[in-house]
Amino acid sequence: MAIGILRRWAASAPVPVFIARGGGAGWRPVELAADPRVRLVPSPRHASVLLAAGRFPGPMGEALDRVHDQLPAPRAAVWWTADADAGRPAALQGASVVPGPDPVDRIVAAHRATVLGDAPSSPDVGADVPPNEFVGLGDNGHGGEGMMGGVPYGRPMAMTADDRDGLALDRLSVTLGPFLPGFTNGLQATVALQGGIVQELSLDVLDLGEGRSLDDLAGEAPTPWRTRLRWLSEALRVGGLDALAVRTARAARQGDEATSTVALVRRSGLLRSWSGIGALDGLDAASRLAGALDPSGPAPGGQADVPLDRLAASLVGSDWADVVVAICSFGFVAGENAHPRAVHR
Amino acid sequence: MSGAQPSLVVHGAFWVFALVAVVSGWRVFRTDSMVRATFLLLASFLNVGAILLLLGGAYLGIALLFMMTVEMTVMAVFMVAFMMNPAGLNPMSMVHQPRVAAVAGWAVFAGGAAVAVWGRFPRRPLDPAADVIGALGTELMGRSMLIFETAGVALVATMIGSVVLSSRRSRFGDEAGDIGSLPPMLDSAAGTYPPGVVSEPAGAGHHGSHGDHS
Amino acid sequence: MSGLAVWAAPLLVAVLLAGGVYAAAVIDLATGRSVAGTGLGPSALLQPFRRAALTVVQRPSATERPDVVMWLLAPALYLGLAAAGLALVPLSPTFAIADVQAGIVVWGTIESLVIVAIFLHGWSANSLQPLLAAYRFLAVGVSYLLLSMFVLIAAAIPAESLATGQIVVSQHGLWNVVRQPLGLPLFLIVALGSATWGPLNVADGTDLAGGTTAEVSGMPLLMWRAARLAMLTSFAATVFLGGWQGPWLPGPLWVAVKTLLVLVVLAAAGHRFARVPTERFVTICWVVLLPLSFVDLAVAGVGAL
Repeated sequence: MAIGILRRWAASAPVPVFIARGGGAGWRPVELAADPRVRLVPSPRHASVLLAAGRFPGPMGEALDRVHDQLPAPRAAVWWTADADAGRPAALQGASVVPGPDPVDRIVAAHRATVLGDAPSSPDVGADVPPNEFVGLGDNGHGGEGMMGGVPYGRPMAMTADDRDGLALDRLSVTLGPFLPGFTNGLQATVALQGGIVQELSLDVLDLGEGRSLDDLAGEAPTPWRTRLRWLSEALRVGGLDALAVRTARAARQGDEATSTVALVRRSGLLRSWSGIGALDGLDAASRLAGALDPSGPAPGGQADVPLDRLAASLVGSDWADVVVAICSFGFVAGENAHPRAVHR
Repeated sequence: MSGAQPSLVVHGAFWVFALVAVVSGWRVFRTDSMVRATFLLLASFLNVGAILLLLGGAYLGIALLFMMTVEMTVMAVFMVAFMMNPAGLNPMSMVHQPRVAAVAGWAVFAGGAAVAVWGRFPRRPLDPAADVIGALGTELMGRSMLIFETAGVALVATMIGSVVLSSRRSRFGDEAGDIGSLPPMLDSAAGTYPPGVVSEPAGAGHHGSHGDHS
Repeated sequence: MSGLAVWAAPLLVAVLLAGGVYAAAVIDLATGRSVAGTGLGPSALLQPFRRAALTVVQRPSATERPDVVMWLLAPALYLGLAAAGLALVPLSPTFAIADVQAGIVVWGTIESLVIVAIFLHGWSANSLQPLLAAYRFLAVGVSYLLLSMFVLIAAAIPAESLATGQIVVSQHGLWNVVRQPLGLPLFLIVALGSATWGPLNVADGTDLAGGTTAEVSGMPLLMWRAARLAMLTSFAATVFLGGWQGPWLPGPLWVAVKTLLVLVVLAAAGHRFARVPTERFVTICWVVLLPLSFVDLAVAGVGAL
C-alpha cells in the first residue's frame, strides 16, 4: 500500500529531534548531532521527537508544554534525566525516560513507533485557543479614534500625538526562549521590539531545580575543552554551519584535539560575521569565539562575570538576530549562585 | 502570432487576465492590510503585463512584470514603515475624496470605453519575423535618446535626493533624524521623554488631521 | 515556441525539476557529510526520499490567523519560478523548452518574483521569527537583484541578443567565464541569495529558529525545501559556462555535467561559509560588489567594440 511505503521510509529517515535543555543538562545534549541517526532541527515544527534533557520545574515545565504542542503529529517525547521522580511536566506524561548516558536508541525507537502507528502520537497538552482574545471596542475588536488606537487582538495600538509625526512603529512585547537556538539552559528574554530592533530587553534565568547533571549521569567529568567544543557546536549551528557543527560534536564526543575542525571554523568567515556584535567590556562576540577556539586559552568560568541586567542593557538598540548571536557568544553558568551570571569565554 | 485572427486560447487568456487585473485592483481598496493591498496591486500589474505579452510586446511585457515586481516590493516596505495602521487591525479607509474620485473614475472609464468600442484601430498585424526588441532598442538609443536619457537622469537624481532626505543625518544634523522616529509611549502613565530628547516637535501644527478620515 | 506539443513541455519541465531537486539534495547531503567527516556512503542516494517521506507524513501546522492563501501560494510560486527558470535553459543548439526572445529579462523577473515569494512566505505566517526573517531577506534581496541585472546585461552584450540560446552561441570561440571573469562569482552570489543558501541563508536561518519555515511543517515544508533546491539547480544550469558546448558528449549531457559541477560548488559554499549578517552583506554589496559589476559591464562593453 502506498501509505505503508511512505511510513516505512519515514520511519527509517534520520530522526529530526528538537532538544529542550533543562536543569542539569548543560551543553551535553548538543553532542547528539554526532550520531547520524539523528538530526537536530532549529524549530519544533520540523521535529518528530522532542528530547527533554534535564529537569523542568514550574515555568520551565510550562514552556516545555507549549513547545511540545508545536511539534507536528506524529510526535513522541523522550525525557533524558536522572531525576524522573522530581515532578514530571504535563508534556512528558507519556514520555519514555532515559536514565542512561545515551538517548539516541530510545529516540529512534520512539520515532519508529509513532510513525509506524505502533504507539499513539503524544496528545496536545494545552487547548487549541488563541492566547489573546479579541478585545476592544467595536464589532471586530477595532477601537480608538477612527483608524487608530484601541486594543485589537489584545494588543494595544499606538495613536498619534504631538511628539511624533505619525511615523512611529508600534512596539511588540514578547517573551522569547528558553529553548531557542543559542540560548542557554533556562534563559528567557522578555523583549519589546520595534520592528526588528530591541527597545527593551530583560534577561532572566528560570528556576532549574536541584539535582544531578547529565554528565554525572554518564559518570563523566568532561574536560573544559570538551565543554567548549559542545558550546562551539551550538554556536556553529546558530552561525549557519550545520555540517561543521556535526563535525565539532563528533570531536567533542571522541574527545580529540579537533585542530582541523578549528581551522575550518576559522576559514569559514564566522569570526568576521560576528565581529562588532554584542560588544561589552572591550570584547565582542568574535573575540569571545576566538577565545573559545584556542584550546590553550583560559578555562571557561571564573572570568569577569557580567550580570544579566548589564548584558541586557548593552543589547538595547540592536537587531534581534544580533541579540541571539550575542547571547550565544556568552557562556551562561546558571544555578550555581543566587545570581545568574554571564561568563566571558 | 500570424496575421489571421488570434486563436481561442489567446482570446480566453486575454479575458482571464483582464478580469483578474480589474478584480485585484478593486480588492486593493477593500483590504485593510497594507502588505495585502500592495501585493494585490502587484497581481493587477502582472496581469496587465501578461496582456502586453499577448499583444506581442516581447520586451515591454516582461519589462513591465520585472519593474512592477521590484516596485511593489519596495512599496510594501514603505507602506509598512510610513502608515500608522499597516496591519489593518483597525478598519481602514483607503480612499480620499471618494466622491471626486468616483466622478473622475466614471468619466475616464466612459471615455476609455468609448474609444475602445467606437474607435477605429488600424489593422497592422505584427510580422512574426520582425525583430521587435531590436527595433525597440534602436528607437530608445536613436531618435528618442534625449527623452529617455533625460528621464533616466532625473529619476536617478530623485532617488539620490530621497535617500539623502531620509537618511539619519538628513539636512539638520545628527540628532534630527531621531526626532519623530522614537518609540511611542503606549502607557501614558510612564511619563514623557527625558528632557533634551525631543527638542522641538517639528511642524507640530499639522498632526491633528490624521484622525479625520471618514 | 520550441515545437514541442503542448502537453510535452510541462511534462519535460516536471521531469527536469524532479531530477534537479534530487540531484541538488544528494549533492548537498554528500557535501555536508564530507565536511562533517561522517563519510560518504550509498545511503546518501536514498536519504532524500526518506526525509521527504517523513516530511509528508507530518501534519501541516497552523498558526493564529495566518494569511492562508499567501502562505500556501508562496511555496507554489517559488517552485513555479524555479520551473520557469529551468524551462529557459537552452539544452542544445536547437532546443530549449521555452525559447523566449527576451530570456535574460525573464531571468530578472524570476529573481525579483523569488524575493516576493520568500517575503510572503515569512509574512503570511503571522509569527514573529518568520516575519523578521522575511524582512531581512528583503534587504539582501533588493541588493543582489541590482547585482544580477548588470551581470546579465554584461553576458548579453557580446551576443547582441537577450535570448539565452544566442548567448550560448556567442560563447563559441571563448567562454564568458574567461572573457568576463567577474561575471561568474557575482552570478553565484545571486544564486546563493535566490535560493537563500549558505552564507546568504537569511530567510531560513537557524538564528531565527528556522526563519520563514519556523512555523511550517508537512507538505508545505516539503514544497518549500524542494523549491529552494530547484532554484539552486535552475541557477546552476543557467550559469554561462558555454551552455551545451563541449567536445564528444551530446549537448544536453554537457548541460547536465556543468550543472552538477556548479551545484557541487554551491553546496560546498553552503557548508563551508558562515551566514553573512544582513547589514554586512548589504554594505558589501552596494559598496564593493555593485562597482565590480559595473566593471564587469564595462569589460563586456569594451570587448564588444
